[in-house]
Amino acid sequence: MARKVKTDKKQNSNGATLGFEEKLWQAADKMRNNMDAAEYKHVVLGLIFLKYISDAFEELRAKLDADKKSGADPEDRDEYMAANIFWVPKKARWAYLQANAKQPSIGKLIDDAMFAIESDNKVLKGVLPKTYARQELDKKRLGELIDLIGTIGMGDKENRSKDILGRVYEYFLSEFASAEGKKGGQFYTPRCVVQTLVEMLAPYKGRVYDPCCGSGGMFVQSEKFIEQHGGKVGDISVYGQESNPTTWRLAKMNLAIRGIDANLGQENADSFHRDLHPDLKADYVLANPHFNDSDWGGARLREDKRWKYGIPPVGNANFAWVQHFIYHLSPTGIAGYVLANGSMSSNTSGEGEIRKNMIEADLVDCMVALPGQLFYSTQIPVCLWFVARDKRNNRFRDRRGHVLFIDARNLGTMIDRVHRELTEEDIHKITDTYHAWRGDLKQKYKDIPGFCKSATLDKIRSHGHILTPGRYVGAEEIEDDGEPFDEKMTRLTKQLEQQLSESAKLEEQIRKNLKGLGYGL
Amino acid sequence: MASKRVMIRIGDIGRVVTGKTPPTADTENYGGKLPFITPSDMDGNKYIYRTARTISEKGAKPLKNLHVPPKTVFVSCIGSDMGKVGMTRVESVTNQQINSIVVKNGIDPDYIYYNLYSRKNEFQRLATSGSAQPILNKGHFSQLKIILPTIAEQRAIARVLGTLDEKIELNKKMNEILEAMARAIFKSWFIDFDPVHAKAKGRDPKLPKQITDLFPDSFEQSQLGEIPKGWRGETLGSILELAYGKGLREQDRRLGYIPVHGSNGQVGWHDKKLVDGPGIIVGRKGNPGIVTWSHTDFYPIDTTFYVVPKQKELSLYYLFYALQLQDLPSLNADSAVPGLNRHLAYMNLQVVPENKVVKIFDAFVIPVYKKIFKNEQEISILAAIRDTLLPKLLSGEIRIKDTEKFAEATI
Repeated sequence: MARKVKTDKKQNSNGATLGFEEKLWQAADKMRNNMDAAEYKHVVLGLIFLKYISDAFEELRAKLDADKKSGADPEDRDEYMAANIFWVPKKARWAYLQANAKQPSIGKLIDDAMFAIESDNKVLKGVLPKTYARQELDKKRLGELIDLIGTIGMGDKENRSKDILGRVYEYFLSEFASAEGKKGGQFYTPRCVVQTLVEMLAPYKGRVYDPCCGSGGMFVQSEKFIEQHGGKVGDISVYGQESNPTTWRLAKMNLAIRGIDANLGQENADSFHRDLHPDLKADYVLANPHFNDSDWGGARLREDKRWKYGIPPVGNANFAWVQHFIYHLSPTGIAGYVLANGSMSSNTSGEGEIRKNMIEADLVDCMVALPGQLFYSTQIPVCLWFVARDKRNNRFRDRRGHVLFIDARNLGTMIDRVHRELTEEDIHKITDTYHAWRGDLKQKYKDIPGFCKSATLDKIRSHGHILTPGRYVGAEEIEDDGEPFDEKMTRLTKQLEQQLSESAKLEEQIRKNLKGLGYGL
Repeated sequence: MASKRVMIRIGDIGRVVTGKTPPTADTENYGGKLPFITPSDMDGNKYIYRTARTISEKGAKPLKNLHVPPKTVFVSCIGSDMGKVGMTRVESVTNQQINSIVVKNGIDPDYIYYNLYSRKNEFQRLATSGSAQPILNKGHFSQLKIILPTIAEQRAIARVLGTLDEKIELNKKMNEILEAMARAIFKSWFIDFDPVHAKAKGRDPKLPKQITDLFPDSFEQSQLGEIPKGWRGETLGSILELAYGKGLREQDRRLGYIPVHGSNGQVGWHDKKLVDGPGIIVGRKGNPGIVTWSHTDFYPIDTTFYVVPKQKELSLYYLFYALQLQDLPSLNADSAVPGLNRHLAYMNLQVVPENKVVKIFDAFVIPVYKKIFKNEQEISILAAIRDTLLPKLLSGEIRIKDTEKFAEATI
């Protein structure tokens, strides 16, 4: 069942908030009728996708049109291909669909448009939704939805440069995750968590890999990061894999509208049982695998070359994922991933042994404990692991034999009653600490009681190879009430003195009162 | 001696106000000086000293007409736990679950408080059921009738009951002070090592000589960093055991005097103890790491651990404060249900002073705890007297002699 969406959500503090996504979402949600959010998602996101590529196409076409005299041909597909923009055939252009929005045949027209785009753009083959003609979809509402989406980002060049549609797409993705509740949340990592991971790793160039990529949020954020830091998207190559077929298609669309050229394999597949990138050695792994997955088919994978640090238990995929990541890291690669907190301390089914072996191999670089309630799908608190194949790594300082622990459980702001978010400031507090520690920041690293601690392997051994940051960072320096002990005791003693004498007076009073009622004491 | 009694509507004894919640989306509406009272703040005490939230000037402005002055009587009128009554100490705002009566001159607000306080069951009965939330709306609330004796008699009744409540409150406050004293001393001696620092620097520790003499005058290195010379750093596991509580379902509890403890304090009563008191309870599931004290024999249920000291010379009092400062909640490691793993807790380190210092600490704390316990017992007795007298006084079954004189004399 779809959960009711909260509408009084505060403006995102760390987001690229446009201000109108919320209204748009509400309007679109109103047209949902009695459709399931999971199903409706594909209807809406498909249309936004269509609008997006059509807008991008029209923009370039207008430019080519203007340059006609100097020999540009607005109908030349190669021009579009060169600019990394999808060629949109006539029947699939937004203006055409919008003009027919009120026709009862609109559903079929959209399906045809999707087919037309797929047949002209091989990368999108089999990716786009083509179910708009079906009976259950109210054609009047579909027409209204088209009108609504038609109002986004129209014409305005500035809007387009701000990637309005991309952001609306992302906003809708996250809202759908929330509306679908647990089911949806499985493939939506909150943006602030992704952003933290990305800024920790700072993937400027090289191969980026996410073997459980969901709708592709890690890649989108990586691209944003590179752009913000003045790099070129072409400097990284993106590899991903996703087992859920509809999510896989969502990822393809999500990356397509941003022009990210990613290798997500020929189709959806399970990374454990059918690794689509068997020879990949990535410079960065960014991932948020499904927490504590007990249904990963581990019984069929008792022996595998990936299990270098121990055989992961059949009942929990956490350490299977971890070893899959490590297996795919290049000799200087770094992985950052999200896991449930249990992974830091569990000693059941050999997990403790695997963790111990990883620690003794000096792979663990940094651990971050995050506050609870960051996810749509679950309340459980999660942590970030950072694993480096080579901590001597000449890019940074030599940090062999040390692990950085960050306890960020007190950070974050509640955005509604049940969801928390890390603000831009929170994220930087975490990432700056790591970068300072690792030595790629001018600022010098310092242990802060209650927040961060650089611990030796010996120390970790003395804690039984448990990686919970709370164990290492120590207690926060209790903010003293500023009252010196002496003064405090003097004040308390005086208060007590007063209370004792008042107590005697009251006792007398009560005695008298009861006597007044005829009860002697 | 018959005095005149009249029956009037609640709506006629003063202005009835239903509260309102300022938009929570705007955080600037909160965090000011004005208390914001909600039913969860109503803890059974007559006056509310702390509210979970307060309202800022910005949030208060649009609610101008809903501010209520001190001595306003308020009743929770929505929700399963309705019919709770309280009285404002200062100007306040309530949320929409609460109806308030700003009692007009000539009627004693304390009398109104006690009258409504005695009618919780009636409120709950009157609430509209059928909808998911029981509710007693403002119109319905204003129509309820209330018996008013003469003003002199109102005051006399309020005075008798009021003194009992004042004493209850005083005891509670006194316990807070006593508790704060014990904590301050523990922190000064065993966390900040004030007396050792003072001696090391040749300053006066401002303690009697026989106590000062017990503290070392220098520090030494340990696995815990610098600690007073001769003291030890030990793991929690070597100084105490966290023993498992035992399940006791609610329907299996029988009326008795043994407090039943859950992970966040007392949850009920039973007639059989599991553990001899006094004792320490540590939350295991639900509220992992929360440390509570029991003055008497007790029954810790299976969501808790109770503490069994392993070293005779380390008293429960010392362990209680030590555990509170260990930050056990941060060890919460399980994923689905928050839980405290005792093997993790056992690895924590604790400074253990020399035996003679612990003894001095105990000599101070034990009488303090005895007094705290006495005060708590007194509170139950005073409350029992109040609740027994209350219906009789209200019905006129018990009369206060010479009400006029009584009221005057006690004001």
